[in-house]
Amino acid sequence: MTRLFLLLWLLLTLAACGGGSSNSPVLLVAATDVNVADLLVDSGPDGAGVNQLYTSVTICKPGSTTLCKTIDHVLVDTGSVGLRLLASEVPTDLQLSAATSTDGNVLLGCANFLDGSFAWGPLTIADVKLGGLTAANTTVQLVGHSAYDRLQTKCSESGEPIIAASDLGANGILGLGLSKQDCGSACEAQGRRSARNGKYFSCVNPTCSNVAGTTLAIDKQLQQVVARFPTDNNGFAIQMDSVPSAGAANATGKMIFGLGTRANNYFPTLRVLATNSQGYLYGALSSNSVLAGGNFPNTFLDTGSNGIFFDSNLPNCTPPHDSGFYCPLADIAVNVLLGSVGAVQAGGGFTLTNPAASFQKGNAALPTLGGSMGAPELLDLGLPFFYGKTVVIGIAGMSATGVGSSAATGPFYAL
Amino acid sequence: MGEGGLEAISPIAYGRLQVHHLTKVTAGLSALPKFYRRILRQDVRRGSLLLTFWKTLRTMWLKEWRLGTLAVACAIPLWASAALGEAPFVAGASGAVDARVASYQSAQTGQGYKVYALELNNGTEVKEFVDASGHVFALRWSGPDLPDMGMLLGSHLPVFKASVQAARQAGKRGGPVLVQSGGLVLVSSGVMGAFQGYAYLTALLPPGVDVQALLK
Repeated sequence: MTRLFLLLWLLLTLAACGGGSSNSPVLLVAATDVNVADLLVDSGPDGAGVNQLYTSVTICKPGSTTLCKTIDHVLVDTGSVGLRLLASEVPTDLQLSAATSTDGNVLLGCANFLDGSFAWGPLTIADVKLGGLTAANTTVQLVGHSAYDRLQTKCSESGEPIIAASDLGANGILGLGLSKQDCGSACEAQGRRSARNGKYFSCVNPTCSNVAGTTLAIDKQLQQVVARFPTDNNGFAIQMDSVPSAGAANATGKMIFGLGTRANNYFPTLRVLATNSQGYLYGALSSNSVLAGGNFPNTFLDTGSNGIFFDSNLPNCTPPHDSGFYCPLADIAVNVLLGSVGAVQAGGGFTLTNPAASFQKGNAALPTLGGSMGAPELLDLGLPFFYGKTVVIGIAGMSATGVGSSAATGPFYAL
Repeated sequence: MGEGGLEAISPIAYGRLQVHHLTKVTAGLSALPKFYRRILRQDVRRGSLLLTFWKTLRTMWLKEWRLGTLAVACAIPLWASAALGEAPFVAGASGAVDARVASYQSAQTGQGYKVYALELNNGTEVKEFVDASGHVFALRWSGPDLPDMGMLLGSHLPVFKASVQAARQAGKRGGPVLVQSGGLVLVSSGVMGAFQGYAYLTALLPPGVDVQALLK
């Protein structure tokens, strides 16, 4: 917000100096910025974040402009879909109504993460604002809601429930992945996974003495928020500023919503890379005397991963640093080639460094952090890959004309 | 579950089993043929599960002696917990399957081990690698959701949890999980909607089995 005011002040000042017409610049800024949200990498609410990408999300009671709250440090995760906010961040005086099943009982969501941690809690309906755009009447999950914690084993017994900001290093997760919904047709009544989808549950009675798995219509599921904007809804770009390879305390960037919908979201020089049905690209890493490189048929770009993860011959870190990270003896420059289903079309690059010094400094932005994947075919291009780049995500089923040289339909990445 | 009242059964009938496991016993019932379920329900009401157990086995033995033999060999560990280091989720040819398993394919046999291919209720596929003594020594999974790690890892779940916690404290966020601790080797990777991973117990690997090749 401070940044916005500074910008407004600056533009107003410039306009004043430029000849006295003081009405248009403000409108111009508002018009330009309506589809832009600020991004931030810092140490986060628990002070321990590393390469965690945050934005602020405003939620309102549907239709209201006053019953609203802006929640900062919500994790931007291109590896999941749906907005999940810590219940403790959503005050009851917003008067959000619960999402309910056809019999009027409260619906709940369940999301499992790789480390066994899980998000469990009731679904609610809210207007969700990112930048100046609003996704009206959107399903939002309230995670770690004290009234439903007693039923959390219905969601998972794999690990720790996400209750507090310290469990997540964030106040919520804004899942902005390639798909329009968290589950899609598989969780509908006729879907393959039907009521035993593990993602959606319904209270069995008004007091919610227990829950049972339930099907959920696509439009009631957790949503890719961008796809629900009235305009600028076919995809978005993440533009991160460069970070020196030694790391930095913070990093900033922008999310620009819509592709080819406004003057600020044409990306004709980027290459469109359509993903396969699982959301993967084909990737290849260059080899040199230290790194064996190789091909990675299942490559994805995930801002929710805080390193670049792939299997290689590089040495792992040793305690106190996690052995899942690489600790190369010297900096390694790696070229990445990405393509659709085997055809290489676009490139990128990153450097891997021993992260020990940067960890010691308490840097939150480490552009050279990498580690082991544990699966030879997978390449997880996490947040470090995004620094200094523009990465576009085209949402599944949505078409865009402003990216690359011709029209494209999601799911795709462009870079 | 739909088999109300079973929680009241004394765990003594199941010897070393704890109350926690009784829900799994309940769950396991639904997979049994109707005939046996009826006997079980009757005796459950009478509160005599030990008797039930004996009667069921005897009946099985008389009616279908081959099945019965298998059931005797598998029933207790199957219903116990069926995780890494324990008996598989599917009790061989008897068809008794853990309720969290949606379907399974019959075992393929490798050199010194058997493989069971299961689909869990959440749509994720699990392969169980079972050694000659009937213990699960390795697991592999892939599918739309993370399998219940408590279900898969059983008594080794605390090792997984502790490793995750340590990695988190060392700055790991959101990426793959790699565990090598307490005799457990585990990888949990992939992306939301396409989870994959494997786990094995180093101490239980059958001699001559190349576990990396197995889990590819």
